[in-house]
Amino acid sequence: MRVVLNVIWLVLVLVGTSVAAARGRLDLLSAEVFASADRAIQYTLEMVGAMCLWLGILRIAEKGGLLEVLARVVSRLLGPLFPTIPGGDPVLGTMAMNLSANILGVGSAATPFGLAAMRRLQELNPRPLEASPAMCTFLALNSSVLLLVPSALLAVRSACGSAQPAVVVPVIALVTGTSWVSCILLDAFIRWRGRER
Amino acid sequence: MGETLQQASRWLVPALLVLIPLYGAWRRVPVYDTFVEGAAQGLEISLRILPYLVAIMVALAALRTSGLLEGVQDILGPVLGRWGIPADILPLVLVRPFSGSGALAVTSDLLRRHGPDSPPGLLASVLQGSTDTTFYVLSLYLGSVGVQHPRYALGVCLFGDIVAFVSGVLFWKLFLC
Repeated sequence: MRVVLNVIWLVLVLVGTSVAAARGRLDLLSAEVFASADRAIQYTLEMVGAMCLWLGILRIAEKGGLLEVLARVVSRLLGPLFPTIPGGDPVLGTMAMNLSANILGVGSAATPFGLAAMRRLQELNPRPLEASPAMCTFLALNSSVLLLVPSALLAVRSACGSAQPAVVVPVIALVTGTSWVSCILLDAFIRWRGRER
Repeated sequence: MGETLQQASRWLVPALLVLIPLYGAWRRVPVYDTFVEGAAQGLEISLRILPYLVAIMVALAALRTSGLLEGVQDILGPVLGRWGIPADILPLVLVRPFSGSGALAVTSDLLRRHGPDSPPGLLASVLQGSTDTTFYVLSLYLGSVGVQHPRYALGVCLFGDIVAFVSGVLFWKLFLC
């Protein structure tokens, strides 16, 4: 998958440079390229403060157990979506923690839970080289998950001098809610059709 | 509706700043120490993004000075123009499924040039916040347990991204323009 990004980057650079050459803009390009590298440093420096602020606040919420409270609610909703997983299996809790961390925008906490959940799902997987239906459902839930606190985005918006960094938060919740429900429905539909045949 | 949203969001940041530490104190978390602990992570993440930012911004600068994006805007103009979508959103759509740090770099570049509260800046923010690094997550999660065939997981996840992009543009038009 990383290969694709390498190709995209190469294409952007190649296309940009050759079109600039064809239009006689190479001097401008050389200047712009180095100026943009400088700007990258400047952006980073301006972002650090806001990033630290949000992650500091978020860590307090995490240590206070907000994640666990949310996970308890989420794990109750998960059971019906995973008919192949025996009820009460701890993997439901692990997946709930992963989804809750994603909902609260704590990506660094979400990944370890997600990988732990995948390990357990693989133990339950009858064909270990193929993704099991439970894995597909979990990945669908995970990749389109409802997002309530987009912390990194808020930090970037603050750093760019936004007067209202949070104005996009309700809209993002609405959009991710829509895509989450769509993914859950599509996944359920695929599993239902698979059983019919 | 847009007005109400702006009023509500004006309170959101101060509310988070007060309510979360209060909640932490109630749960007997050492709030100051914990804040510093989390803030240290912010430094780490910012530094991790820096190389991505340089790589992406250099590539985008090359693309911009070439004048190609204006060309794309001219071609897709009838569609993009009617919605007020700027052509420089396209690199964001391209990079988003593969790299979170890369997409954040594209977004911050967009926000600087258009202004974070301008319509294009708000659209970039919504799309950045609403979609995921689908290819990266799939390869990491499936790769970590040695699964080689993702079956229909890839399709479902990409479907989610498309729904997010389309509804992102719709809701942006509806609430933020």
